[in-house]
Amino acid sequence: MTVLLEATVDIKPIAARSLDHFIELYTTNEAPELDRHGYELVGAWRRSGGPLNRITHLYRFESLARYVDIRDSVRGDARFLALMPKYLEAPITLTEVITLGTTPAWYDDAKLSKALGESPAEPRQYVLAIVQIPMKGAAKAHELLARNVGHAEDAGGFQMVAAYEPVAGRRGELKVIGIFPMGLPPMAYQAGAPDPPDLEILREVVPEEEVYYLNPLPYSPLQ
Amino acid sequence: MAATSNGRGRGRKGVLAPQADAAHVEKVHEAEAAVDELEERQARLRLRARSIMGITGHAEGLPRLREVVQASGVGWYTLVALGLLVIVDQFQVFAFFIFAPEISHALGVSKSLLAFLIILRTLAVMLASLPMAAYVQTRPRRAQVSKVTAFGWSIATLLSAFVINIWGLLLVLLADGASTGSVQAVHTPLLVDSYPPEGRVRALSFYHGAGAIGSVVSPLVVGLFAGLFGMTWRGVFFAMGIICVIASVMALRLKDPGFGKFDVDKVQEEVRRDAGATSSVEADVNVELGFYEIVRRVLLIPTVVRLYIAWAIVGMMAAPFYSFFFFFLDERWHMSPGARSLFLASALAFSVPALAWFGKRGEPMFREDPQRLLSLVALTTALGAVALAVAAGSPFFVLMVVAFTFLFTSLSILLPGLGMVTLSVVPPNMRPHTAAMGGIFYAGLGGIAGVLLLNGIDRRFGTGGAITSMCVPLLIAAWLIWRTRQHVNHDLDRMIDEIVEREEIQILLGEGRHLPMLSCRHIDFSYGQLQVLFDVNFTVDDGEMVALLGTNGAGKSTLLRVISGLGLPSRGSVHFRGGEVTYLDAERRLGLGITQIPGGRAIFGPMTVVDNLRVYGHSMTRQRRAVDAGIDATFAAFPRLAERRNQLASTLSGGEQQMLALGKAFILKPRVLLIDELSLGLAPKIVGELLEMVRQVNTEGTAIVLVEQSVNIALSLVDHAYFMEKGEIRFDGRAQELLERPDLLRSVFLEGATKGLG
Repeated sequence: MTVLLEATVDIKPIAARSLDHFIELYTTNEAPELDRHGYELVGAWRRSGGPLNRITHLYRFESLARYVDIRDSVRGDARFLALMPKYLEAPITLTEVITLGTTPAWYDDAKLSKALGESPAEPRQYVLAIVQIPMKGAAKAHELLARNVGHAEDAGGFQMVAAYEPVAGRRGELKVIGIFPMGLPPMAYQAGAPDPPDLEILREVVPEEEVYYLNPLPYSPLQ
Repeated sequence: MAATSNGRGRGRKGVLAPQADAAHVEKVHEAEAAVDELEERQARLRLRARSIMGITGHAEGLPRLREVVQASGVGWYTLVALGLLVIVDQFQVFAFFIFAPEISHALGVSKSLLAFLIILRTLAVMLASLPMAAYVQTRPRRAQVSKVTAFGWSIATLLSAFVINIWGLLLVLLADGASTGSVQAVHTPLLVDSYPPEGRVRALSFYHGAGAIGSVVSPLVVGLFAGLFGMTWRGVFFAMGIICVIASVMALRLKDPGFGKFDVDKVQEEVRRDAGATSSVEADVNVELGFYEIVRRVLLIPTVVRLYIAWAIVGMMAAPFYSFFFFFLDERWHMSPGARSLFLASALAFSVPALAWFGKRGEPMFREDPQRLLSLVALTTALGAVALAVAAGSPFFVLMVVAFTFLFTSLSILLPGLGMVTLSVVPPNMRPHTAAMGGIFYAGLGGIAGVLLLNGIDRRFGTGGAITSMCVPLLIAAWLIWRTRQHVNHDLDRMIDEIVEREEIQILLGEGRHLPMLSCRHIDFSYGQLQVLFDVNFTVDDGEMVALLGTNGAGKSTLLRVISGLGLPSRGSVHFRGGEVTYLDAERRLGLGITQIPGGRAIFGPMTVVDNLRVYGHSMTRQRRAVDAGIDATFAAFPRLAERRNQLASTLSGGEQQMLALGKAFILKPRVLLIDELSLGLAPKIVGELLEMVRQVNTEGTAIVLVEQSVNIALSLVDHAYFMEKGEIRFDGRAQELLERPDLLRSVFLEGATKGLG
């Protein structure tokens, strides 16, 4: 089963040149090394609101066992560890929070692969929805959620690319990342279509989700 | 209005959505055209205004001081009267110093207690100067304050003759100190406003020359009364008090000419002449700055702040100087008290011709370029530092005397030199505050730091070491003054632009022209050293709905902070309904109708929903009925909040918390509502509900500025959009046009993340 690794990096001082420094360091040093070991970077985004200079990286691994192997090989790689002084010498301070996420049963990895293969002509905005799945009736909530995501996708107003449940942090949290095309009315995830019949039922178990908009960075495979 | 920052993409047309009515479109365009007109005229007028302010760019054609004085309409009287007052002001403190042993003996007060009383007096001088500045800030009452305080210190000097205990002594010293605050705060601003700019350096030099004469004359007068007439200390105080009263009576005809009679008023006349207008109309909002707003404003002027720091550094050396100086003369050169006094008096006497020279030489320099005046002051300060080093290390008595005399002489021009530059870059009604704060930096910050520092050096290296070490602060101050030169012209132009802009707006109002309700012009803003806004222009008209979009960190929230008063710009202006509110407190802007809903759930978590709403209401008015009506309106708009009225706000969902924050609009009913990141972290459906309410608020006449992270959301709602990137406005136009600009969107979303904010 696919696992996703979310790395959230806060870069300080809060100035754009700090972000430039980080991107330079990451793309020329860390990213090639991680790639060599088997970390598959699928997305790199910057939030369009909230804390400044917060970057989210998302890596894909085919299974938890594979992830553990790759992680261990990176940890034992002297060449990779030799990169650390470069970060320490840079005029920036990084705070990185790494969270492993397991994918829910209804997650379809083919959707992520499909999105990775797309080269959009227009800029696309991504949306990160954080849903609190109730402990009681989680299975039902997941089922309703999967169905609603499907409705939104069918209406062409939302294209899911990833869904994962972090193994640390708030219990029952589910993160869904999708593409939210430009120019749509903002009141729903689908383009002007009426609410799907089971949305109301979903709202009974998941009344409200947190939503953040993500802008892909130039080196992000998901564009 | 200039459409974008840095002149890019000027001339926006059709800013309103097609559904907006034609009359409203025409009104908005008219407002923008009016502001464009202001921009062009302002640039033209700046040079002429500089000339009116006494800076012509060349030294030729400088009128003689006599001609300047005649042109002033007050003749020599103000100059002489203030000069006289600054002379007699020093009587009390000199007499106190000289008679310290006799006073100590008569009243049974220890030496250290007397020293403490002197410190209290100095504190009184500093602390009294600020309320005096506050008293004169709205009405020109500087002459009145000068006269009253002159009688104050005269009576204090007289009463010194009758003190019988420590409390009486404390009282007269405090009264003397407090009344001397006027010398600090109002004398030089009054002098500057009494004479045309072409003669101000000379007038200030004359005044400070009188101060130097006071320093020489005061001990002589004391000596004369005590020595020649054999008076006791009480008799001397009484006699000097009488002289002070006579001087105060002689100054009774002092008049305040008003703020900026020879500079601001003339510039305003020029603006009216240029526009062919005969009159102008004040904006219908009260935007007069209060005391703290003025202080904050003054401290935002780079020239003033740098010179204050230089002043404090000079104070480190100068304030405790005399204590070490007399010990040095005694220990190193074994000079008797009489010889020391004579030396000081004669050395100070050289300041008088030095100031006369400075007046003559400095005036054309200032006229040519104020930077040159600062260069001269920096140079003489540095030379003073060298002289101090020579004096401290000299093995020859004559060389020591010459070097110290040169030090006193060179430093005497600091006061008129820095005073002239500092007072020139602040608006006239803020000059008393500027002068008062200068004293606080000098004697308060610098003096205290200097005493602590030099005492330590003295203990380690002796008096000679302490005297020698004083070169360091002097050299640093000289360097700082030198470095300040680059800011002077910029600050001067900024002040001129403010005057010109205010008058132009008043002319347009007088002509009945329509101006934007809210207009930000050429805004620069920095967080410390990091500049985040660059030359931003932004307008909102009555009832408009405007979106402010852009990448994270583009400066959107910062611009809202500048508009609402939570942040003060380092350049540029904010006008609201024709009045300048750039430096007005956020609280007062709230009263005018500018309300901001900050990003990130602007609620008080530990309070209930209804208490949160009451807090919003009470920040504006204490009328319970009006607040209750606003709360009812909020609950009618958001029934979910009504259901949770007694629930703690922290327990609400994200959407409900944002609804609660939006309740502010229903209670305060602002003219313009600034909403920062309404949709942050909220589900689209909740955002949809909130936007409906925003629409409703707008329909009721409130203009909306919506800072949004989501283009989708903003464009579904507004007529007019601004797009910011790297602290600059990159797009200003019809909201729907943005969707036709994928280049811009791609640039903003993708490149924006890699290129930095600048």
